[in-house]
Amino acid sequence: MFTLFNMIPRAFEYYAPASVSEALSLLQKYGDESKVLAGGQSLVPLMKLRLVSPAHIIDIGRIPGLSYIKEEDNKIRIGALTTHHEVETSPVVKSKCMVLSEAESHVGDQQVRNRGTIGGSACHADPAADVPSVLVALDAEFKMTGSSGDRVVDARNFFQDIFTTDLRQNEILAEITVPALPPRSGSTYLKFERGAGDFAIVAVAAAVTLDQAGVCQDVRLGLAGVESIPLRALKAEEALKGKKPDDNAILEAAARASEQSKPSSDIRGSAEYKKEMVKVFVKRALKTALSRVS
Amino acid sequence: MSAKKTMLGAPIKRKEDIRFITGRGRYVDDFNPPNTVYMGVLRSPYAHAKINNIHFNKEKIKPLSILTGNNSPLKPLPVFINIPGMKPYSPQALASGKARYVGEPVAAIVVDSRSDVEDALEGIQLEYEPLEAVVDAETALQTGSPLLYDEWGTNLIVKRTASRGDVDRAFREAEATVKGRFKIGRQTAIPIENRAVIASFDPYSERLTIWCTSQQPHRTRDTVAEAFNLPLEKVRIIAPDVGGGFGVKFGVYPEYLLATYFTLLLKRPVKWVEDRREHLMSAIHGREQTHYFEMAAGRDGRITGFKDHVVADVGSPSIISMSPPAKTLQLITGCYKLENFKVDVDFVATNKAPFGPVRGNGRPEAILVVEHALDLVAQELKMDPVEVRMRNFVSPRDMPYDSGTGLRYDSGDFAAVLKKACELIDYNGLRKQQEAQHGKGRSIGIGAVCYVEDTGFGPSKTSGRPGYETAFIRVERTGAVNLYTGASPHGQGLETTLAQICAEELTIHPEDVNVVFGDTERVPYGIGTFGSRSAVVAGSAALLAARKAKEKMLAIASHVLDASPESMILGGGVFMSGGEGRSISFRDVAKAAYDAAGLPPRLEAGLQASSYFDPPALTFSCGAHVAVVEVDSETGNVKVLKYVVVDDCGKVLNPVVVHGQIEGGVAKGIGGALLEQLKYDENDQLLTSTLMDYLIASSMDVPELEIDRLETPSESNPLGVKGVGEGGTIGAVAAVVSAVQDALRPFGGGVDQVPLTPEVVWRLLWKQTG
Repeated sequence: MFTLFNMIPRAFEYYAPASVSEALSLLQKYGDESKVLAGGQSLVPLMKLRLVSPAHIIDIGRIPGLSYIKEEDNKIRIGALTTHHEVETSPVVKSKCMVLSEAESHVGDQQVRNRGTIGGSACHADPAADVPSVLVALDAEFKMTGSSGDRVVDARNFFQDIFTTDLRQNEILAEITVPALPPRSGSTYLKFERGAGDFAIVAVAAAVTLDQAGVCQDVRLGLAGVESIPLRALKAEEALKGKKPDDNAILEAAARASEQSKPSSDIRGSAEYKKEMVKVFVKRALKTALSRVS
Repeated sequence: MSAKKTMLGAPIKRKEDIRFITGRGRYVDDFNPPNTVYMGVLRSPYAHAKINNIHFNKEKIKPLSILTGNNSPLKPLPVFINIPGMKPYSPQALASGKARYVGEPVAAIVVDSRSDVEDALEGIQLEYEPLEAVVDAETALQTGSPLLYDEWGTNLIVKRTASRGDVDRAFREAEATVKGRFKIGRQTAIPIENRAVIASFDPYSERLTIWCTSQQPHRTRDTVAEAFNLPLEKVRIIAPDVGGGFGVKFGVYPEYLLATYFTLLLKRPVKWVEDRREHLMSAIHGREQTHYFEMAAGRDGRITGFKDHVVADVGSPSIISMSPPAKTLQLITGCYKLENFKVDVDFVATNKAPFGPVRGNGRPEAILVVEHALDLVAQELKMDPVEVRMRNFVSPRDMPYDSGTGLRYDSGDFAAVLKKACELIDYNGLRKQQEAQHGKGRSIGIGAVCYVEDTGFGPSKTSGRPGYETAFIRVERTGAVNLYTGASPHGQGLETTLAQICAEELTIHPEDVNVVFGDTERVPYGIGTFGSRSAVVAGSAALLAARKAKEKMLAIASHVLDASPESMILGGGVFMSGGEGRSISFRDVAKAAYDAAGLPPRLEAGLQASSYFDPPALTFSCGAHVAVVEVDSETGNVKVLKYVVVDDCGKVLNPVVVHGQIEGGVAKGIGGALLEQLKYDENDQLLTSTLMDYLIASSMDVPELEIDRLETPSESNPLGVKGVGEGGTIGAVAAVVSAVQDALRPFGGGVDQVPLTPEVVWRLLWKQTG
């Protein structure tokens, strides 16, 4: 049944732990009754709409040391509390992982990007959101901290279902690692949206790496808005790998991505339309990414 | 004191903007009387359901008071717009017996703290018996459809027709005909400020004060006083700064009466500020109509006949639901001289939110359809669409022109505004470019349309209700002026334009004129601000009141200077005696009026005057809009590339204000053509209940506008002005639709609905179905 009144959330207890271990013990104590708050840009609206009503809010936003961007061994390590704005404008991310920077520039509006975090967006796991499709495309690694230590999973195991990840109730996400794209790579995030700041009708994260002869060495395609999880379009990637990315190969990849998509009909468009748009935007994203290969 | 740059017609900045832009406006929610309690409204989750028992969850917060529809003592809301022959209904503040739309108030509660409102509402459970609902007007007209009012035996509230000439013969003898179905979606106004009310009854003085978001405080006062049998002089309505109205704050809403009920009961101030979801589901919706139109023409492009059958979905009928379709019927012939036409409108009840005026109030719908029909004729005849329009306009020689629908166009040169707009945008050059690009993958469309609209609501005699507006002016002893207006501005810029009008007449500076509004205890009885009327009617009242004050000042000045009254002139803030060369300042005359000792015999002290200006007739604005759009043929996405408006709203009092009105109006029209849609799902639930889902045009969707004007002064008011608040929207919906139609031409397709969302356009391009 629809809730027909909503402005102020149900009552909750608020905690602001100063360390990861303090946060973990609160999570341990309150279990399913608790929810971690980072930037609050998804959780707070859901609480106001009374779609979720956690009894205990554990605000990890004041824990030091979880906000950083570091380049190491051809990888970019990003602290979970790094804001969208910080990721978007990071020179390292811009030069080594353009697709992520571009995706971040599409998240909500500037106010949301100033407060919302990359880790929060990943944990929220909205399949139509901008950042998760990039993380899936790049096969990002997720470092989660629990009372028994750290563990790392990759993107295909992290995103499990709509709004559901591999993160356990007694863990927090600490870090996301994405690859620095190798030389002769080009990438882009192309979003088809009804209006600025909206979730995507469909969006495509694309990264390509060519060899000296102009053959596709690596292709990465992540799709938003077409499945219950951010979708890695593997079959489409296969259509290009080891080939010269001519128009036919691109169209074949686009067709495969469309086939693999299982969007649902909603206010942003019918399933039929979204599948067609996957075709159009995979094609356009690949062309843009290829034009950026340097 | 006075300077040319402050005269009427000068582009002075809006006085009120400093307050608004710096966040110093005071809106209803900014008022917090001590001891305030908070109201919450429980709303029907069903589109159609019988309401049975009420239960309380004892663990939840217990309200101070509760009222349900089944035990409500409140009188029905008075229906403001009545159409002869319409089925009877009595809108209730709280649904009793059954609920007729999702979001309809079914119970109201009051609690001590705002933070408890939602929790307390969660503690109330109403027992519903869901009924089959109908949310589509054409389905609602079929036999066997669920009925909103069983006693009617139908959902057809009323049918209205307008006709002229012999339309059947026109179609029989036509050299060319076109026809189509056009569906206009359900949309709403989206003021920045939602609805809000504080009702406060003081038991000692027995006075009731209500702060509320209103476009017409006096009518609200009359309604509240009558609803609760209160003496009129004991009820005071204050509409402080109001963050936009566009028609949705026209009437008295159930929530205003509920808050009044509770304050009379509890003797404490009761506050209700709605959230956006409540607003989207229960404040007035507008626009929704489906047209089945046919147009007949000769080979020469002359329109010989027009037929239209309009199915207007007014939702669950309320106080002002019949207004927009009635207005559509009046304006359906647009700017064109149609000798033969027949138009029917079905007013249909459905299980959706109440209907009413939304910027343009039925006019954008009319202009859209007639302009679209002309585009189809042009296509059929392979003529330029601008040329077809030129051959059919009502010309200035035809003025005053009887439209045959109940309107009498007073003035306007439709061909001239369209010609000027086409020149500005280089229409012929654009057509050549378009041809050159044809087949090169870019789908450019050009839409050039013309609109006309009745503005300056009144006069009382023909409209059958008060159509005047009032002004009361008081020149204070310092020479400063307080102007009290019965209009109720909520963003239009009237504080500036009314000050300019007084300043011009009194040759003082607009900064020295303070405009007071929105308080029934301070301002004279007024009709309010709506329907592009305030500059016309309230502006004229301000002028006439200022003129009366000036006359008294002339009498005083001539007495003080011992000069003949005939020789006196006022200029630059100084009264001068032409012959004798003597003078006295405006300020000194004002002081003399209050000091009294030096007044002429038989002249009362003080310096004030009032005017009730009742216009002799409606006055008609017009304008041409030309839009250039690009359609992405792969996605159906439409981008507006260029936009030109040539508007004729008579004499322009302040181009800054006029441009602002047009710009806002065009943005609303572009949104209406491409984005805005209130959507109900198969379970009759409103899907678009947040601004994430209901899209309005942002700065990303509106190109730089080029705005120019012609000035055909109105002869029905002393200022020569015509209304401008709605024209931007009226023209823009039609222009964007016309441009998309033009872009789709090479594909063999055409548009048949708004909003033209990307998927709709994509289907029109590739699927040939809606």
